[in-house]
Amino acid sequence: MTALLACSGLTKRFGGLVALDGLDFAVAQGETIGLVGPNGSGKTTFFNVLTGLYSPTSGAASLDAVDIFGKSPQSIGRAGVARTFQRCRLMLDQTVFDNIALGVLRAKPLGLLSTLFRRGRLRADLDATIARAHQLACRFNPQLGAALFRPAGDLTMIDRRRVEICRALIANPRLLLLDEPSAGMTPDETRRLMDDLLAFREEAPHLAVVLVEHEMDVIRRVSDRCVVLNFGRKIFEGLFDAMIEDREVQTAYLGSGQ
Amino acid sequence: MDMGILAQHLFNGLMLGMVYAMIAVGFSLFFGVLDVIKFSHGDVVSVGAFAALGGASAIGLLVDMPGLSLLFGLLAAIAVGGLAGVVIGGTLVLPLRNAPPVNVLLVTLMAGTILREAIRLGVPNGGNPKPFPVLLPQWQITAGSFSIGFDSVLILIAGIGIILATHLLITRTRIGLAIRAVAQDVDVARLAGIDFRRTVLGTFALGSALASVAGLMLGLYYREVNFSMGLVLGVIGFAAAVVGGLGSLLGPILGGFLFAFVQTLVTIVLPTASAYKDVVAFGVVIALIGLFPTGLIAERSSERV
Repeated sequence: MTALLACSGLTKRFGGLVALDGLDFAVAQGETIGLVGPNGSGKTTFFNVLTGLYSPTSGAASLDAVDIFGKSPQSIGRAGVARTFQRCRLMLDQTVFDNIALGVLRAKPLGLLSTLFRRGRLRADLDATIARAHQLACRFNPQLGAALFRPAGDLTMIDRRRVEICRALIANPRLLLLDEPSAGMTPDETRRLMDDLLAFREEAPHLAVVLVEHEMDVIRRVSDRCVVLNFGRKIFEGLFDAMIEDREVQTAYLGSGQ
Repeated sequence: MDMGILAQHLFNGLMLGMVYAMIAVGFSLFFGVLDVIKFSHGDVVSVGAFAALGGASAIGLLVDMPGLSLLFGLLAAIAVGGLAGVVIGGTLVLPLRNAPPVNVLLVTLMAGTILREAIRLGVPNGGNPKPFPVLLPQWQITAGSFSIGFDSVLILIAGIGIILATHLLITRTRIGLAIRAVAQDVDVARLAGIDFRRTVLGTFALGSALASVAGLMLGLYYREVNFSMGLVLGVIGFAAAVVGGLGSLLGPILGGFLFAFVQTLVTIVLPTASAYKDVVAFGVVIALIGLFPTGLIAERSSERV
């Protein structure tokens, strides 16, 4: 199996702090990886480096042989990487539709002239985007589809997560990074969100997913493979059952007991 | 009080409110995308007024066509105002993005002084008020004791049209979505493929062109421009934006009309004390800020978990 995302020796230093320490990481097409580790182990830093929000210190990263190491968030997004955030980052004053449509903004030119003089084309584009956003939102929750033109701030927590995932998915990414989707949600909401994700997974079998999560039930349910980080280094890579038996992983999470 | 004079005052208040709103919107746009206060914004009003004066006068020397002069005056105001916004944004504000906000405040305050002094010293006899050419038809509309110039009505309609167009641009277009996205969350916007720098500079061009056109309108309305006219207008625009809600779009428009309404009210109710209209209006601003610290239309920010 050839890797879609291939990182090697990925390192990020903040002054003297090594947040990511020579990380090798690979994801195949259609694979879901559960990324696990104690707080501060570098999971979110990894996402931030991967999406270009932080510039990496050294290493290499490529998506389907396209170099994405140290590139701008714009070009990494264009290459096919989309993500959500641990703390839901939506425009709460804006409509659900505007939030989702942001995901495909890059697809068309932004120029003032095209805005003024190509109304017909834009109208058709807009209708297509509305149809796609509606379809995506309905897949997660029919009521969310009906609330497409309501402010995102009116939504419940789980629907906000869904909007964030719709924003990531509408661009048809090849790699989806989910940063702790269960944060701030009840176990029941988390379970429903995972149902959504698994259902979507079946319709988009080539999409690769990296999921950061503390809820072990979630990891067990959706991931094909697990990677454990501690102090910015990979301490485990393999199947879920092997992971929870692994002595080093247990030590990292629970302490050495000495 | 005579109804005609009352209507005259109200019309004047509407006109002022529109000008304040056009200036206040800029403050709110800049604060939206960069969280900064650009204090040179008032002086961009003067720059626009003098650019329009220059453009219109230049055409006036060649041909006697007021319409053509007005068109060139408008183009000059938009071009010079927009350019001033891009230059100030690109060379002074963006490089200080990670510096304390006080630095941006100070730097733009000084940039405003430079603009003001450049007009005073660069324009022949620039220290004195300059007459603005008459470029609109001078018909009078009379109803009883109420009499209003057709040109004033045109200016008011144009101003309201510009504010509406700006609102549509921000809320209904892809450019507007890019501006709103950058205002809310720069990281998310960049991941969505939005060029941060271009969007910020575009926003500065837009806000500054609005202030600049407001300067042209004041010239047309009062038939006079002055190198320091932007000083108080900048403070009023800033106050209107803060009262209405910095970062929102409707807030500063509301704030601008509110400020003008209070000024007009003082003039109507206390004609003998009309010299104190700014004092009263700023007093109301202070009271409103105390009552609504986040502005009349508060921005709904992402919750912090």
